[in-house]
Amino acid sequence: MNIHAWPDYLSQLWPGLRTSFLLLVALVALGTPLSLLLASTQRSHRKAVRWTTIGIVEFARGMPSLVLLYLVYFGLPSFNLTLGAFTAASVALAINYAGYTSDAIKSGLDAVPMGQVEASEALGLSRGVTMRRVILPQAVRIITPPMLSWIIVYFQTTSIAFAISVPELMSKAYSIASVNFQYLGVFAVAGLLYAVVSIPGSQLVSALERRQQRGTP
Amino acid sequence: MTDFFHYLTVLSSGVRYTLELTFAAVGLGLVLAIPVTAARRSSSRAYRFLGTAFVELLRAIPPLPWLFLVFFALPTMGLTPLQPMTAGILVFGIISAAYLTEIYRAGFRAVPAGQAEAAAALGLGPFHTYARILVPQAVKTALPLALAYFIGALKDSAIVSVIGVQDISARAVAQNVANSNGLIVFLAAAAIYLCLSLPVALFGRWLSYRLGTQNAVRVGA
Repeated sequence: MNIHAWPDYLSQLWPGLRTSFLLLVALVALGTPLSLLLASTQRSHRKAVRWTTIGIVEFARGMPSLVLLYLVYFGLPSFNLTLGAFTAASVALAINYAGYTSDAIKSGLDAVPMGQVEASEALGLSRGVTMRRVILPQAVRIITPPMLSWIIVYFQTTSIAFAISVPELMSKAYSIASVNFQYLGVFAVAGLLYAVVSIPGSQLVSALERRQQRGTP
Repeated sequence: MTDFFHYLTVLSSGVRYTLELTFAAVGLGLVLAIPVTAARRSSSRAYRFLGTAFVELLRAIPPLPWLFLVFFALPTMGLTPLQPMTAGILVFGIISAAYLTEIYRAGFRAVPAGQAEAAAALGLGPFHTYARILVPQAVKTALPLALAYFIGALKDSAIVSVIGVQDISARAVAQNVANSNGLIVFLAAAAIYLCLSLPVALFGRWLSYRLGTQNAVRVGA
């Protein structure tokens, strides 16, 4: 094993890691509003709205992320809508992410005491203002740690965008290794890059959780 | 619609491989997680460190790099190349060992400390304490979690299609290439995965309900 070449692989893999990050940013930016929407419609008083939402959520997370990725990338052209690989991956993973995270957001919203909503109503606040200014600020504290864990999970999940040739970390690693045949070194460096991001990330989440359990905001 | 059912039959020839891989990998993981859990719960600092390092490293790196390391890199070190299926079982088996270790630990954590202390006070050895007292109680917490993990593994296993295992996803990709009917093909694939995971999900829900009530009854009595 030629460990001296590893810094060289690292610099070659760098643009791939950047694309992985961009994909993560795009999917979280698209997925979070969708997740918030799914979480609030799941709390709707109307049965039809609630059940439609549950259907969407189960669909979004009932299939492998890889199949959803293929479905968006190869399926949307049937509706005369062709997305580039990066956009398709962002959209597919955002739907998947929203499906999984809407539960975390929902339980955060549920955790805000009913009295807060009643008090806002008594003060004559509209439902939108109540959500934005009263419920969300309190729910955010509860939601942050699980959402961060999901973001770390999805940083790893961006690797499946390899399957539709988004030039992210794994695609870069694969193309470098198929030229220099240094499969071990290149894939080891790529794997370690994922670990170098994920491990401090999950330690941050545990630290946040511990701090919340102590009750200091 | 007829297309959809046509693809359902074509793709279902991959079900065997998806199930074989998932069952073999989770089975391997269930066994491998036992020594890793023992290491993580050990009083020796060195064992604890090794156990933690194993779990953290496996969970911090996605399955795809592990799959490529085993499938492409091991042969360059002079080892016999593995069949795609074997490589998939090995990789997902080791990864599931890491996740199942955490599930076993969650199970043991849910058992009140007094149980182990009482067992020790009664003069039970470590083997009997685990086999007769701790494990049967830990299973209640761990089993529903393990079933949820199984569903996750079933879906994650789709990635082995990129190294050539002929599972549901690989068949779908081949059909898409042949007929460029991506929408229907991948909807059919999604439907098959749903049909496979739904019974397990329902069973898990029923089981945790049952275990939950049994618990409540016993606590109440």
